[in-house]
Amino acid sequence: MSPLVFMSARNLARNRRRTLLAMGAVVVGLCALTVLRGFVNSVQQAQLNTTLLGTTGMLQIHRSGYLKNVLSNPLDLAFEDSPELRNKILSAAHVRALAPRLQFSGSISVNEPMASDLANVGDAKTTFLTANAVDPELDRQTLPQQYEWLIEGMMFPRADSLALVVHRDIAGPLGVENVAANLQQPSETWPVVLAPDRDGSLSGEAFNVIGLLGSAVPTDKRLALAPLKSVQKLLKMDDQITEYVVRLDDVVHAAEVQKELEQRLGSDFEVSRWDEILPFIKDLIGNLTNIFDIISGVFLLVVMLGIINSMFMNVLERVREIGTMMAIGVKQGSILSLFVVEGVFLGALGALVGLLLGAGIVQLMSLIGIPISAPGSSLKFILRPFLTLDFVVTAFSFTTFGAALVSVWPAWRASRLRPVEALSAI
Amino acid sequence: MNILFQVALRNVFRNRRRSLFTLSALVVGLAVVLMITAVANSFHRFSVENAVNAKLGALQIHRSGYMNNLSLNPLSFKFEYSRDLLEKIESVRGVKAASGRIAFRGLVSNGRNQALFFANAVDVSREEKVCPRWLGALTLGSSALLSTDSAHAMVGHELARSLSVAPRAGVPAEGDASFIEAAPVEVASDTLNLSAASPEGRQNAVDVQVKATIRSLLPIEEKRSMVVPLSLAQSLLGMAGKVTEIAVAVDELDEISTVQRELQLVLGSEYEVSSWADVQPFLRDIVFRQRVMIAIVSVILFVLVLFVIANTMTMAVFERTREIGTMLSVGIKRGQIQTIFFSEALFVGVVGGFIGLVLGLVGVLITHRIGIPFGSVGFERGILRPFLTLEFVVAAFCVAVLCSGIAGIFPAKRAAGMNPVDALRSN
Repeated sequence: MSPLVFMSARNLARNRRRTLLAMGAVVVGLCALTVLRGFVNSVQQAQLNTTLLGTTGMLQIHRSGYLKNVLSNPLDLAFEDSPELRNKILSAAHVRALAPRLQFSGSISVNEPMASDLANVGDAKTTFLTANAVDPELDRQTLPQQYEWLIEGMMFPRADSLALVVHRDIAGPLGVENVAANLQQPSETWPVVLAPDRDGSLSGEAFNVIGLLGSAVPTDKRLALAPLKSVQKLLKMDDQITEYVVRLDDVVHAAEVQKELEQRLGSDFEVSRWDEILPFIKDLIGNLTNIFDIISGVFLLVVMLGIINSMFMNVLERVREIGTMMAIGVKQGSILSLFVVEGVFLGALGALVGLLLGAGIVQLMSLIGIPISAPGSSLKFILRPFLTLDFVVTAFSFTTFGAALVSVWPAWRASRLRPVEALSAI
Repeated sequence: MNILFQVALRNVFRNRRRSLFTLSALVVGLAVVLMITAVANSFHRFSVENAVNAKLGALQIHRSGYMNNLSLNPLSFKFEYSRDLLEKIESVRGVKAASGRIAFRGLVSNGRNQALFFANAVDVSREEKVCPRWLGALTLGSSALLSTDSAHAMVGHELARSLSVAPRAGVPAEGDASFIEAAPVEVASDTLNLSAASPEGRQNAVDVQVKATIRSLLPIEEKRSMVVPLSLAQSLLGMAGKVTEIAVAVDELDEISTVQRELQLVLGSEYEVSSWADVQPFLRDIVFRQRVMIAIVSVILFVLVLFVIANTMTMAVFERTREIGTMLSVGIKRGQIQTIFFSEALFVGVVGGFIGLVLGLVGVLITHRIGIPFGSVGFERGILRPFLTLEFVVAAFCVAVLCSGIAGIFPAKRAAGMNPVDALRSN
């Protein structure tokens, strides 16, 4: 070890109390920064997971023109769900799971035994419904988060069940919110789903409501889940679906897999990324990152002011010592380095302790979990703060580098002292 | 001036550089807290005003039960849209204007294709007073709905494009509309056929002329939405003289809860009065959550500043140990020494707080003047003008001074508790 480094370390150890105090600001700053970052990370992850593993998925595959389509019948853009097509998608690199969906809309009405006369038709319990017909097994693999919003009851077990999972807010007005009681009901009293098929003619089928969804996103009250096979039968669209939802092993590969799939599937299909379907989610997350970066900058600035302060104090206290060193021939450059290295030690040590402390708190918060409700809904999320190595390394190097930088000024002042005057100082 | 304060003051100036760094920590901390709060304030006002002025209206009045029953036949909650009712509403203090509406859905067709639409039927002569930006962003060649129109519509741009209709270039719209260049539409005609069901379930249809196409940053609005005159909806739906909603503008958005209570009182239990926050809980929650985040960051920042000040003060005590010993031995009381150090910290707090306040306010003023251009999906593009409330400025200043004072307590106690002999002997 160079004598310089050794000396600076000893200098810091010499006045432990002061060193501790100076480090205190760095520790508090870094600790606060780390905890905040851990929290922000978990908020962003919750937002992302809601989209990627709950509603939209990472990639969606449709017939070309589906997403831009406005005219009434999206069922016209359905395509056949064949094993060959599935294999083509599943064999691409990074693809982990895939779920076929048939999106349709219709109405759901509940038989009201009392309202038999025509005058009460206006009060009939009917409402619009937009449903995703899904295969329960594949859907759970692809969009697992969705099932955490199943607040009551259960998911239908098979793709050919005659059961529905609807949003809590429409189950109430329809009078089917008691799912346990629904299970006991004979099929004659089940709600009827009426939906137009591709020719526009209405077909109906009774479905029992066996599960209730809470809302994680503000505008999905009319969204329901229905069994794929039963709906295909109802709409006379055997093996037809409107989209595949694709889950990758990591969302960072989305763009690359999108290209690959586009090539494999040809121009008949369009492959869309989640951030193309829901651009504002990406904006929201980006905004949060920007705000956090600004705040981090301010925190570090205040911490640096603390370091520069105590480094000046350090120099002031050792004026005589500096004079002595100069008198016995220590070079100005060496004195400059001595103080800068002290500053670096101070910053690095403080950052290390602060990061460790912060990481400990983050770990603790993550073990306990922070319950928070999604905006605009009563559904509880448990946030589990976490840190990335990336952040830890960046925070550490920024603090250390910053400490070196701000120490240059006091160190430079020290190295410019005149030996004679310095020696005669008290 | 008390001699102790004079000593404290002189001590602050004795080591100017150190005091400067302590001050700057406080200044930066306070200025940043003021700035981020001001920007957040402007963002919240922007989002809320955006929602209120463009679409919602500050308050909405419905028949009781409407809000809870949103998914079931909303038209059955119709009520008489009478001059008496409007006068009753507008006589409430704080109410600026009121305007009736019907929100309904149906099918729109151009003769070959049809699509689902969500329409908002508005009382054109009154709507502008309630939602000054109700026209939103229209495409070039559009003209706004007039109060004399009865068979006209403004249609979402994507919806119009899909049905190959566009407005015949007419007189440009008046009022607060902005016009945007839009992708050209292959025009077949400018007429559409709307069909919808009455509250009793009877289907009816009517032809309308497209006067404008509306641009929006929300895809769903461009693909499905439509604005029509109230009279058209009333005859189409068989609801003559009826509406399902009255939107109300208030003089001061901050006073909204008072106005809401008054209105509810005047109208009685037959109606329910909801504010924008009840109608858009998502927006309310986002605003609330951001406020909490900013508060947490501010608190942490103040704690950090407190730490830096406590740090410097403790160092000052160590540095002056001999001095303290001298003071103690010439008979200065411990309480007086404590006061000296405590006043030093407080002095730094007041001066730093003041400079931080001025700097922060100047920063806010400059950004307010220049404005921060802002745009995001789901919001209209616009300019943020950061602002602060007097209460917050006063509170932030007090907290800054308080922080400084708290930071001074421990070092001051330490100085006062020294043993004169040891202190004199120390190096």
